[in-house]
Amino acid sequence: MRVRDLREGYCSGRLRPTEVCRALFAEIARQNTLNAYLCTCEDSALAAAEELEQQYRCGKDPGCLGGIPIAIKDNLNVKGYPTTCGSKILAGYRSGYHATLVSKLLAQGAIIVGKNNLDEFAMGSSNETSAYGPVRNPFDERRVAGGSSGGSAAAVAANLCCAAIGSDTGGSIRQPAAFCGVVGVRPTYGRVSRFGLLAYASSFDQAGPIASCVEDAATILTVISGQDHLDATSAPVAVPDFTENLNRELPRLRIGLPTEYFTAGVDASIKAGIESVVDRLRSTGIEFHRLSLPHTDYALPVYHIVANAEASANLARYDGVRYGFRATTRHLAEMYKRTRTEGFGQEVKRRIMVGAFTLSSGYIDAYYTHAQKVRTLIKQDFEAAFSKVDAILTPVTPTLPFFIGEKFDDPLVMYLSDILTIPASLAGLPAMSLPIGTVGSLPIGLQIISRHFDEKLMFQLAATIERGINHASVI
Amino acid sequence: MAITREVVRHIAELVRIELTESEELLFTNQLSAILDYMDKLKELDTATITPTFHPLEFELPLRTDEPGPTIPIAVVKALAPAMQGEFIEVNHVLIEPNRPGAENYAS
Repeated sequence: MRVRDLREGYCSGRLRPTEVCRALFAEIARQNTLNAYLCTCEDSALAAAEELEQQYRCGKDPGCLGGIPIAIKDNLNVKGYPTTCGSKILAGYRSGYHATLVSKLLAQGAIIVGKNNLDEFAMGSSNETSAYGPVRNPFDERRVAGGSSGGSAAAVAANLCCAAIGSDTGGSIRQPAAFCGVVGVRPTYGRVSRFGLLAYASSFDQAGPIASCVEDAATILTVISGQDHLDATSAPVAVPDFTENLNRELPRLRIGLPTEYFTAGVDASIKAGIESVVDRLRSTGIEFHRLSLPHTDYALPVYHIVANAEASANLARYDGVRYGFRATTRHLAEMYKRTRTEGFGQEVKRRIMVGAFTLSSGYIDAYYTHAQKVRTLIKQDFEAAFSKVDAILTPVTPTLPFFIGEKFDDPLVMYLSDILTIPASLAGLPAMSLPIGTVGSLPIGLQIISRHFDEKLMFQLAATIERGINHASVI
Repeated sequence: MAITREVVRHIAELVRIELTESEELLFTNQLSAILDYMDKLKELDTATITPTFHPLEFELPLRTDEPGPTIPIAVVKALAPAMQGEFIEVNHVLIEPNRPGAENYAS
């Protein structure tokens, strides 16, 4: 399901938004074992579809996403619908407002079809920490869809929507996109407003598109980007049309391959798949440079100190006072404790405890402040690299999608799933996952990292690779 | 860094979470392993490095100081677990220990 095909169908009258929506909701119900959706927005979607159908019939263009069914990760607010963040602590919460990016999608005629399952409060790499059950990988339902935007990635991969919006803190769009064989984009920090995105780690969180092709991801990112007065961290940078150069020949590019991302810890079949893409690009005249990002190994501990410190502050608001679940107790202090104890899952508790420890008196300098200084070193590694190359290519994940339950009991093993996506997050760089084929029946992804606000080049390179890809097994 | 059960209890108090005895043991082991892994950062000398609190620095946008619409009070009321008139109702905030009946409020 692609934006271009749907729009052509609607404009010609061959397809009708109401029929597409009804078929979609039937398919979501049929594939409910994937558990990709926590709720569907049938009433509002069908009402919107009727209105859009009328507009197309009258020859009026409802917008570049007119009638396109899009799903939203359930940590983003859609007015009138629940936002659970995959947690029991927000049971009963229905949002009174749209996230800014949701308003932008609706202004271009998009149809919001439902809210996707996710790891609880976006904390996870497998969509197994959700209080509402794991998401299953459409390629093999015994395996994880990745996380934390597992529901969004699985929904796109299974054709249960045309595209979805996920969120990425340490890799939570890119990793599930790779595991589910779809395109996933983390924009430059500040590119997309965080208003209405329930915060995990405020200096990392970014929402972005998950789609079946580069063109759709670029179209959607163009729609949802832009400075927002409701988000003081959103960037005062103009938004270009990210689709403009997709079909243009690439300029003479220098591409970096950082040695730290191609170690023994990465599955050999994934490395082979990327080498095959590199060989094909090299034959078109693109220069490749082996380079070093020497502080890569320190990225994971930096992330888990800083992100969890921010999370311990951001999740302090869930106290049973104003919204969501409230435990029955006799006095206020007990109410806070019982509500949070019963409302949060184990991974959330673990992360906010780590965060609180590293911010606590006696430890803050040694952990939090020191980690933020190492973050500077990691950012400087990328600055040095981008003085020599225009883009960086790496694997997205060290492994193929693993089995549900395989890594769940060892938090550190699970955290290593994000080892290749975290560094770009620390530096605020745009990065995307592009599917480049399968190993057996399991998809693998290629990560492209670009300079700040250089998503246009990132998409152009991705589109070039996408055209050249042979989606047969790479080994 | 190995941490003790006492430290875990203290952190749990800071984040307002109660742990069972088995959870205390589990978290003591897991948090110790996680903090051990974080100790890898001690390999680096950052004495002369400035911390990065925000990945990109922008000038903070200011707006004119004019009041505007906010979340409607009806929405707030609909979300609140309990209301008393126009106020969100919560449990007793203060407990005087010597007051008759205070024993009913022991945690």
